[in-house]
Amino acid sequence: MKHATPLIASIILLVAALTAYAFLYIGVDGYVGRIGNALSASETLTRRDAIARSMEQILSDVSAERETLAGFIVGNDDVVTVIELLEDAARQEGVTLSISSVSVGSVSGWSHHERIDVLFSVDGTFADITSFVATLEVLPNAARVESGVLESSGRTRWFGSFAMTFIKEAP
Amino acid sequence: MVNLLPQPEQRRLTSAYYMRLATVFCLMVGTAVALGGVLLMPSYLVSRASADSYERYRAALEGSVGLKERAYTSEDVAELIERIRITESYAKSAFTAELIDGFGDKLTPGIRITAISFTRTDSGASVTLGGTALTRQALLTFADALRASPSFTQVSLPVSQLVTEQDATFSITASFERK
Repeated sequence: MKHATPLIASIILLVAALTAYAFLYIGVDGYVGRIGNALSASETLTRRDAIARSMEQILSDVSAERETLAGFIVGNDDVVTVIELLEDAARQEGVTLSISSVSVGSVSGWSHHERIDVLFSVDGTFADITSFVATLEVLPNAARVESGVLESSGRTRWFGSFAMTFIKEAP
Repeated sequence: MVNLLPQPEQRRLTSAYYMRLATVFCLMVGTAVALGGVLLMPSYLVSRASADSYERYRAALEGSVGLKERAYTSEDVAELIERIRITESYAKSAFTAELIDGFGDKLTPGIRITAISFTRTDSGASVTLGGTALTRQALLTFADALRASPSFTQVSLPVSQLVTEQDATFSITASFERK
């Protein structure tokens, strides 16, 4: 046993040295990995920041156009203005307007906007009704007449039902 | 050469020899590994410091106020793109005046329109015109005039509506193409 002591001591020394080496090696490897991750994340963030800066610049450059565009879109709380627009146009063109429904719905592919569907009917002369519809089509809004039915209801009177859509901001 | 030592002594000496050999081997390998460890120590310390430094930099970048504020920018751009796309599709959407002028010009004597229906399509509208024709010839003339117009395509007048010679009720379907 006495003769084996140096061997046992040298084995213990070897194991200790191997453990220390493994600890250092794994440590370096881990830190290099962390550096790589941090560098790649920093690069991504820097790139994102640069893109965001350029987008911010673009938005600032087109702020006037954005305001103009926004004017075509009905505000989130301004659905009532759509009804008022129709009523004003009807008064102006001398037709009797009856709004049967106003509904707001989402459209597939739109995440920032919604569509207002308005169904209404009008009564008046043919000229007045067509003039009324033409007025609606040139409203200063993103709006359009989707469908319509016009029927003669008397010698000079016509009755029309129309479906129209407006664009509004999503809440 | 004859070994005069007794067999047990010979085995003890051989065993002691291998034991010393193993001890020397372990010491040499242990020393080499320890030396490697010592040489690895600076890399370990530097990489640890660098990792901490880079992670602090990343955390600072993530927490930077500018980046947080600009996070809304991409959302604004997405909204702008969508808005442009939608308003573009809604631009130049007026067609009713053009439609009414389109068939109004083709009205021939003896034709009275009593119903018009239309539904918007990508290129214009699908239209149905209903009314009465004083004579069959007036109805045919009207239908031909529509067919001849570049604004109307796929003009369809069912043959059954030509059975009546006078005061015929008709319903013509057509596709209206916007200019």
